[in-house]
Amino acid sequence: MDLSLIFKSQLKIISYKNIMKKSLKIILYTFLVSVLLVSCTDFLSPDSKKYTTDSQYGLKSPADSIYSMFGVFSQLQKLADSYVLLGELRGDLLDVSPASDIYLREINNFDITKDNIYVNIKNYYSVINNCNYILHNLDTSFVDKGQKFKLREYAAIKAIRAWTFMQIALNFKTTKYYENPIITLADAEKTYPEYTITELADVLIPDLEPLKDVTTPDLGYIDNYYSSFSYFPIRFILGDLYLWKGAYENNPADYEKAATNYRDLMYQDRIIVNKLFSSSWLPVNNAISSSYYANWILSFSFNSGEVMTTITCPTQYGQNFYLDSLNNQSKIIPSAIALSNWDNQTYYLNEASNAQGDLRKFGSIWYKSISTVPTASNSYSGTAGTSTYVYKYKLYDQNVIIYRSSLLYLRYAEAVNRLQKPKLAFAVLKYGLNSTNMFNPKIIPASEKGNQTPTYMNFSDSRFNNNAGIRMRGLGNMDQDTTFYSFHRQIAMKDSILYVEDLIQKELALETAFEGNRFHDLMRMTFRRINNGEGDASYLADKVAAKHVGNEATIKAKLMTTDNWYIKK
Amino acid sequence: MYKKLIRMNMKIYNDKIEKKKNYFNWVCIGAILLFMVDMSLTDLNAETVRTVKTITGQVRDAHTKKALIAATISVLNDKATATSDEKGYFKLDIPSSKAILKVSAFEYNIREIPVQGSDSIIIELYSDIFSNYYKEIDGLNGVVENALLPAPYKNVNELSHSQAISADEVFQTESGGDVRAITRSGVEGVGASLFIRGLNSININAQPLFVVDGVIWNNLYDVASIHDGFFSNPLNNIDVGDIESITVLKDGASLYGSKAANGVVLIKTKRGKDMVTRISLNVLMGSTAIPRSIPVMNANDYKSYVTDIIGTAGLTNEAISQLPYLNDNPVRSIYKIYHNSTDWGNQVYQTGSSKSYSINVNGGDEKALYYLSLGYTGNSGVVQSTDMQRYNLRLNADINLTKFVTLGFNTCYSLIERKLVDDGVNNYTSPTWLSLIKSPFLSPNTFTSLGDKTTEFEYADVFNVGNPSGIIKYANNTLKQNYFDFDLKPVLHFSPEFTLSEQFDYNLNKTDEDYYRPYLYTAPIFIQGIGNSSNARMSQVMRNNTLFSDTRLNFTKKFDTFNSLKVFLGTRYLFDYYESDYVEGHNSLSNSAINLPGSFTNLSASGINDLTKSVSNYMNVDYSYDNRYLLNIAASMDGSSRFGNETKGGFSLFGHSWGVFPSANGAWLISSEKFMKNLPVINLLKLRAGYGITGNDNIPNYQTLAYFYSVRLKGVANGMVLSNIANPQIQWETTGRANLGIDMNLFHERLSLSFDVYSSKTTDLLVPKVFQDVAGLDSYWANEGSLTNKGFELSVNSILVNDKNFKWEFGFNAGHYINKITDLPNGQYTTSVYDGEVLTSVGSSAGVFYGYKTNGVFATEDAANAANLRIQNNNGTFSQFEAGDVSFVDVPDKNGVKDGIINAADKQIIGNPNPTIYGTISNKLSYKKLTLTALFTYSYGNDVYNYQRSLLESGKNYSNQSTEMLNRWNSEGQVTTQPKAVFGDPMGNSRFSDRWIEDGSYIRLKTLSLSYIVPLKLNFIESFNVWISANNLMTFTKYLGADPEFSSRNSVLYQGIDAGLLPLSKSYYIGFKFNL
Repeated sequence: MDLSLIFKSQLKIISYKNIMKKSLKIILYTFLVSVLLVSCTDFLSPDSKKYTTDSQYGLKSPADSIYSMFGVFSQLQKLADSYVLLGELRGDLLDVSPASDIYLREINNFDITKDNIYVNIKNYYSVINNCNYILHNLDTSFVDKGQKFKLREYAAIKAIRAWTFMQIALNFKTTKYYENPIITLADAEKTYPEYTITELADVLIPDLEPLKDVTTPDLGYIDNYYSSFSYFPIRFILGDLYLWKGAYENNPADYEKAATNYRDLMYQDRIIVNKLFSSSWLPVNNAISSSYYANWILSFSFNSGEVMTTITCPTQYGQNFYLDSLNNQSKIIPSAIALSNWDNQTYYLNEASNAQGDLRKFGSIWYKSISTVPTASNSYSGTAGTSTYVYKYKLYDQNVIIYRSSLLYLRYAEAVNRLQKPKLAFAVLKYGLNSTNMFNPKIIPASEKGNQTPTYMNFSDSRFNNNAGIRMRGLGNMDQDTTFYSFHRQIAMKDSILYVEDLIQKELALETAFEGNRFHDLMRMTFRRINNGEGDASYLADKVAAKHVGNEATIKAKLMTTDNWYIKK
Repeated sequence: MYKKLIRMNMKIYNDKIEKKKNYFNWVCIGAILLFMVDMSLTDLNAETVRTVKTITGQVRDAHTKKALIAATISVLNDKATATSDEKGYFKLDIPSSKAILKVSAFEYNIREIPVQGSDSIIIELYSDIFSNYYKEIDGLNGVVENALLPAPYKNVNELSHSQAISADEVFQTESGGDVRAITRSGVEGVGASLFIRGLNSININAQPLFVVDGVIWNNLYDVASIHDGFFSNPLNNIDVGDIESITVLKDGASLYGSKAANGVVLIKTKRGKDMVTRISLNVLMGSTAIPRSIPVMNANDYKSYVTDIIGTAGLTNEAISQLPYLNDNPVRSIYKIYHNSTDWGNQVYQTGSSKSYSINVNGGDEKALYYLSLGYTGNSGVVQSTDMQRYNLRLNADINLTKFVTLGFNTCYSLIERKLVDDGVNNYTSPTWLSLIKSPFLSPNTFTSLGDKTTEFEYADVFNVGNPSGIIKYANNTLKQNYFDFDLKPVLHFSPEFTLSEQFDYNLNKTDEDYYRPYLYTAPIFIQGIGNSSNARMSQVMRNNTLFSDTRLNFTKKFDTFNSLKVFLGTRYLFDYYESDYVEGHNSLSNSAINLPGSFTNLSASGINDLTKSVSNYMNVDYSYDNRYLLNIAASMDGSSRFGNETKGGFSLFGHSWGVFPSANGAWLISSEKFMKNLPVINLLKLRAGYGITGNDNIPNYQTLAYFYSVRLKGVANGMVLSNIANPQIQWETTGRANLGIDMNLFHERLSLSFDVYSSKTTDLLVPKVFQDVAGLDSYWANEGSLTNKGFELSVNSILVNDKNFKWEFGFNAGHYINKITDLPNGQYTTSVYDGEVLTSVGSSAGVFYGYKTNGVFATEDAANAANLRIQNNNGTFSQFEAGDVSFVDVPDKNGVKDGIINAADKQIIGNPNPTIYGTISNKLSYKKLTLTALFTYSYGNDVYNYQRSLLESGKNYSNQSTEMLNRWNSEGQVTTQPKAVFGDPMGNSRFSDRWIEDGSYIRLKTLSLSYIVPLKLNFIESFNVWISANNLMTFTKYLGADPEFSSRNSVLYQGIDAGLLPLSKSYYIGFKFNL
């Protein structure tokens, strides 16, 4: 019995041997499977149906660039409020009211804090980064029906990016500059160079110059908004960049390039300041009556041919767009200066019949009654008085206008004035650039035309026939007025130029008030005067301080330091 | 002779293995295996002469000292056994002089007695009515004696008389100090928020991992229901009656590596035990009382309040006199509408009822063992119209396919159907909340023109408050939850030592939710982008599929008397696919047209689509020397699709980052040592120590990818915007935890005590970090913070009385932790929670309340002027606090200057929701066949933010207020704690301040139950138990809200906030259990 037991156990040992072998195989196999599974690179890679990831997207399909383009538009929407508020509340034409919140007051008083809900530098970089993503991935060689469609998108995105970089540099003094998309944490943590507006111009100009003849894409309508208004004309941006460069470096070549770009844009896109949109008092018996046509406001409509670039904002209440509400709730109001600017102009019907007031006031602002807060003694709310609000924002219809024809012509005037052509610049304001006026030596003297008229002065084409002086659309027969609004060459050219630049500055206030360019226009002109030794920071400081009734000195003192013109990062 | 033979065989076998040594080395499959083999070899050499000792002894009853016949005496982890004779005596050969005897007898608790070198021993046993330390625990590594576990585990296996619907209710009563379980609300089966050993994360899941029958469950921690105040609770899919045991691994869970940082809860369901067929039938019926609520004003007081508030709303006297509800002329036709005295609580609440039936059968034959269970649970809630039905079916089987192959098979299906209404503070659709704020002078019903009350429900009222009765009737809010699980586990038994198993599991959890907000009975809600929404319908389908595979190689070997080793290693895969689809629509403007497409406008849809894959290679080694020195080493190497491939804490392999999570736990069973013989007072003394690293992989998905989201341009066009920047460094949160514990049984097992201290540090804490401006995005998740948890757990169990008929056992259980944030990359930040703020800052605990401190109410104008405190209005002007306003504390700035302006700079920490101590106190008394248990739960030192009260005492609008507001300030010189009521609260008197922070300490009689074993002598009934039980009978607390226990969300930052969810209330049950 004992023996058999031993025998059995021996048998067992033999089977153990096999089992050990087997189990070793199994161990190996298990590990092999595990290693194989894991080494399959896909196994642990995240994949998602919920998100479109960089690797899935990458603008591989032709339609993708359109989605990305719309994505960029949506990010631009976040800049629309900032553009207007930073450009106007810091200027002299838009003011805060008792209803304004602290953030608007911060902007108004040049005390912008990091918490300010209307200012967020990340919104600008978001536009830039999304642009970079497109530029990085877009296959510009894609050809459809013989056209390089993608090149058009490429150029459009470059323009949007350039404009956004400019906004950062103008508002925050410098901008970080980068051309590759930030899609990893490592990218986000890199150090990028910081450029001022002139350094930026030196980078952006060569970037944009080759693309200035590329036509903008046509992506049709978004709801009832024609998407073509969302593009920033490259020539406009180039002009602006040269103009800013000129303000610092005073190189005539820069002004010439600015003027050329502006003029070429006018020519190619048939941009004029159209006579048709003149507001006028209805003359009765050659005298001014009590009623008027407010045709001027028609120039703000999309089919006027004068609107060039807009940021289209969400139409739903409370979605990343405050301007409408702020205006309705009187949290931002036209300043007294803005109102007196219009009131102090003279409308000219003829020598005998003229009146105080620029008709462009109506359309820029409008009146509304202030209802009283019900109190115990006054049971029903009534009218306590009238106040004004910005009517332009109503005209905008939630599409914030960035570029329009008047601004283009005024910028052109600014450039040519600095090219020793103050009469030509003055003609933009008073007469209008058309062949008749251009060949009228009383308007454009031969001295300004020179021996060989430069291209940027060529307005002989019939497309410019309806061009009016910018003032004519609000102040009547300006071209005939020799009493109230005129300019005679000063003894020194320099004085003439400064005089006309002042007129341009004032005209910008009358024509483009509340549109968002005021502060930066003042900034540019002031810097130009400082750099040319023609003046100091008071050119801007005085104008802005005048708005702060009772607090002029403090604001002026603050603004005499040009660094305070920028938002602290 | 027999033993000699065995030893011979062993030797031959071992020799064989020795020869195999080279073979093993040659294969070289890894250090672990080598370690294993080396161990076996050293053990072999260590085996010298085996000391055989004979011990004699007697087994007797601890009280009567009467000898126990036929008690089984065995040696722990050895084959030697003996049986006591008619005088209780036994004689047994034991292999080691430090062996442990395991003694069991019918109707007595098992006891384990260290021999400590003795020759003879007297063993006293206690009735099995008492709870017992010496039990087998089905832990990570199969069934292990509790006394031989080196890691801190807490095991619960007596769930027989439980009225709990869901397992998480058991955590609180059975392991109060080990798991901080906070019942979310009074809705049946809604579960609890669970925290083990402090708060181990701030921003991601801090709830433990559930492992059910070896399968990792998704705890659906952040799944949002479309029903306000409702939570998905996966544990509700298991009938508590089907649970065999619940084991809480507080530490030593590195086996689950990157998923184990919050502790692991192992749930095992019942399986067929032996071939005897057993049928068990359970019947339970119960009723739930209407919960307490904060007392609100009656019609008269409310009218007076409304008059006050209208006076401050800027309305004219004439306008006020026109208001319909302030005109007391009974002749007016609308008089009746505004002159009622309604207790809205009565319109909303009802007495709830519940019933539960279940039958389970277990048995089998040589081929297979099975457990089959069928159950139904149904209840109607304490809020009218709400109910829950659960049907569940489970079949667990173990099949012996061949001699070498066994197959485990589990399948389970459960269906839960609920009718719900919105719960918590919700001004539009939560009937319970509306019953508090709704004007008591209004009626739920309409009146005819003649002034007769009708049965029709009134629409939303003049104050824009809906009619809770109408909402209850017309809301149609349902939830349907399907759970299906299929599990196969083939095991190959190569030898007694080696097994290879593969567990495959498929799991589907599908929830359909439907929601309808009725027209007219609720006030319209203004929604941005939509405008006024008069009614709405929402629908959500959530689908969670998981595929789980666990391949494991097991090696168990007892090398000789002293050395035994258990090793397993394996690979686990988990595919977790979570999908959720949501649709909503608004304004069908009819309660009958409720089809989503067609009837509703502003339709919008959204969804989630997350696939997470994780892999874990793990190994576990248990080594025991002479049952005295115990060592457990576990480690896992984890990868997940959520991890980046450039993590700082991991290493790179196959292009992915892997985290390694090792742990070591050792224990010394001192009581087995010879020198302990002189301390007979100590029956068991075990010292445990361990350190382990675990991780938390519940980080957000897809952080490693740069991805885009789709935006709507002008509401029509789709745009793509970059919304996430790839973070290849993102990884798990790492928790290193050291544990030191002691288990002691004293005074002949009359007192057992277990004490653990721990200290843990969580690093790589996932915190939001601000991007550089250039990124154009706000912030990302970075693994840069850290926090610590230090605490202890104590449990004491004592047999106070052990008479023949009367027995009394007392237990005390306590947990304590101090949570401290030690590092944050961007400094402190706050999180808005229910109009309040929670601060996350270095040096304080997670979840602390951050607001203003107050100093009473200014009684007089002089007092207010003297204080000269102001606030800055939104337009930059200042307003001064006046008489009747709250006096807020102006905190001095860095230079010690008080600026007199109450603003954000004056916020400070005003409360901490973390308790100082929490746990349970239990009493079990039995007299013959009657057993009474009384279980108290308590929490001490935790602060509560009473959000409900902050609204009911705000005095800022037309909502009905708590009766406390009768003391509101209304005349100069009045000294009171309630400020004046001013419409809109321009001074912010009701802002988040210490006025709303209360001491949430409580002790409550959680369950009181009496059970009786009916002495039936019937052939077909083995036993018959009847029991009655009451829950939440008494609660002692200073808390002013309805109930001090609630958890508004699972997140760490939302603890201690009373968001007005349905409070727990008293409930009564009667149950029957038949064993056939």
